[in-house]
Amino acid sequence: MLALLNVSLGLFGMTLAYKLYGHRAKEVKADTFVKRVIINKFYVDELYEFIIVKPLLVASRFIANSIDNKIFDGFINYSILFYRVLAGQFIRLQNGKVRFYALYILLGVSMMSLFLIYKLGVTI
Amino acid sequence: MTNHILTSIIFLPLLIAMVLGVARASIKVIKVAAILSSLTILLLVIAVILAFDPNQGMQFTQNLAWIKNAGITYNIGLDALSLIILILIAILMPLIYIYMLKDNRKGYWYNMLLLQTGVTGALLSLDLILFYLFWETMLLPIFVMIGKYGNGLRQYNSMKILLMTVLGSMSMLFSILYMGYIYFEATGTWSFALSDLSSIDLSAKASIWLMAGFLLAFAIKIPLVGFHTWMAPAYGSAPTPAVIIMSAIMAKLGVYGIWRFGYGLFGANLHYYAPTIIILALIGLLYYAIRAITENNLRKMFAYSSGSHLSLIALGIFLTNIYAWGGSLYFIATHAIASAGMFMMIGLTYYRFKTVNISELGGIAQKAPLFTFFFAFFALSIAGLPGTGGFVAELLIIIGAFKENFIIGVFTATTMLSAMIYIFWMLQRVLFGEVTNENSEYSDLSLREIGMLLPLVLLLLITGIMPSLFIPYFEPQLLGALQ
Repeated sequence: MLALLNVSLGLFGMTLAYKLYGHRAKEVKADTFVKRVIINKFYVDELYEFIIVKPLLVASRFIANSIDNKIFDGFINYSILFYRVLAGQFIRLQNGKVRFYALYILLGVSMMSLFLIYKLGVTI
Repeated sequence: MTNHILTSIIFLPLLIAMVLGVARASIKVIKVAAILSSLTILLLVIAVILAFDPNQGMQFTQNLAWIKNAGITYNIGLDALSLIILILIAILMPLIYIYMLKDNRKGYWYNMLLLQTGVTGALLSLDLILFYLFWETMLLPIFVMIGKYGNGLRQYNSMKILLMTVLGSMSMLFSILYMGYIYFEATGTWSFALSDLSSIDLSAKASIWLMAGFLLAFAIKIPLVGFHTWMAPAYGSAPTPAVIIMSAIMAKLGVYGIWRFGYGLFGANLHYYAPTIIILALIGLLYYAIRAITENNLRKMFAYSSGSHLSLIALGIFLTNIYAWGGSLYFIATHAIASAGMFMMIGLTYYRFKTVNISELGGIAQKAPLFTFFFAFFALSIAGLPGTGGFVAELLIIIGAFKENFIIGVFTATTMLSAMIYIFWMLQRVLFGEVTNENSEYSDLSLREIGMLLPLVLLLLITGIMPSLFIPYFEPQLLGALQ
């Protein structure tokens, strides 16, 4: 029964196609709604384009341009920036003038001595 | 003989490189020696396979004292999991040498020899300090190969991979040293052997921190999403042999490390991190796949593809059932073969067209049918085409994921779909369509090139059609570990 239905539907389709395109071949005008839908393959391509392809492309470009570049790479680059700024501060200490270095040594020795005397109780 | 066989497999390339280097051998001698060494290793590995008993755990072990005061030993051994990766190294190295045959830069060959020692050593070590040593050894040749022989921003990119990887391995070294110290406190002797360190009782808090140290190293090597900034630039800049080793072997060693040292040291405690890793892996699956869709550089596209599939493998390792574990192991092997083939094809594309940008390629199918066949075959096997090994592996992992949790299963299943999207679109633009490079003269594959690609094709087909040949080798060990 089902097979019969299938075969007759197939035959009907063939006849229809022959009527439309084979017998008196002329271009079918997209004048009615049904014809327009059929000519455009039921808009399946457009539907896929809209639902799947476009969002994926947008997401892919967003990942490439924003997340990968700015967040993940940015995290690494900003952590480098942190050290660069820190190094910039330390550069001021190393100014090449001996009197400054003498001062640092004096400061360091005094602080160590104070620590030894008051915190650890060292007596001379 | 059986005692020293693994040692020979590890150190033969290094020994040959040293002898050749001292003797200042000519490039021809280096080529012949490198190929002979890789073939000798292949034979030795075949001997290992024949003597291997799947029902026993560690085999071919060798344990020698090395630095006695610190309890560091030369302790190596092999079980089913390391055997799989060892076979991969043994098969891929000769093929990579055939690929490199026309390259006359000596440093290139020396680095590959050193690299083979590094990856094999890291794979077979059972002492954590020894493992750490080899883990760093395999990074060095990659650093040189990208920095000296790479392309694009090669020095910047090689520094980037070095810094990222060293960050991970430093945290791992800290964990290793601390565990050694805890062992010393508990027993009064130093030891860094895996079997000793796995026996110590750790407090919950300590083991969480120690696991984090190991996992960071492995997550960067795999790389899981968030730790991947080095990946695409490094793959993009590296010469093809280095890319093949990075994608096919080194990334797999990250997963292997989770298995061997994560589960080996911490056992079920590792599941403290399971939700984190599973979520990262699921995000990675889709993140990398979507990122790959608009990538224009073929090497970078397959870097992201590699990241996506390795996330799947890492996911499988953390889903504790036999399907997921079996699938992950199987995928380690099949993805390595497929990605080695794919990166070789990308290398051959570069030889012919001097570009790997999709926008500058097109219409190859009209002129080079054999090239097209191999290119499409490897690309599709990466996407998980039924009949190739990747399909079996992905299917097993997806089944395992559904067994664990329905939602994880659904997300995992999308990976096959998403891979299809970027692979088919890429194939359409690269192989078909208009011929955009009329000027460049190019030929179809030569016999040498077919010779190095055909074994990979056959392996993918055999693993795809007859998985029952291979699964009995590792199933007993997995079942044992699950209990």
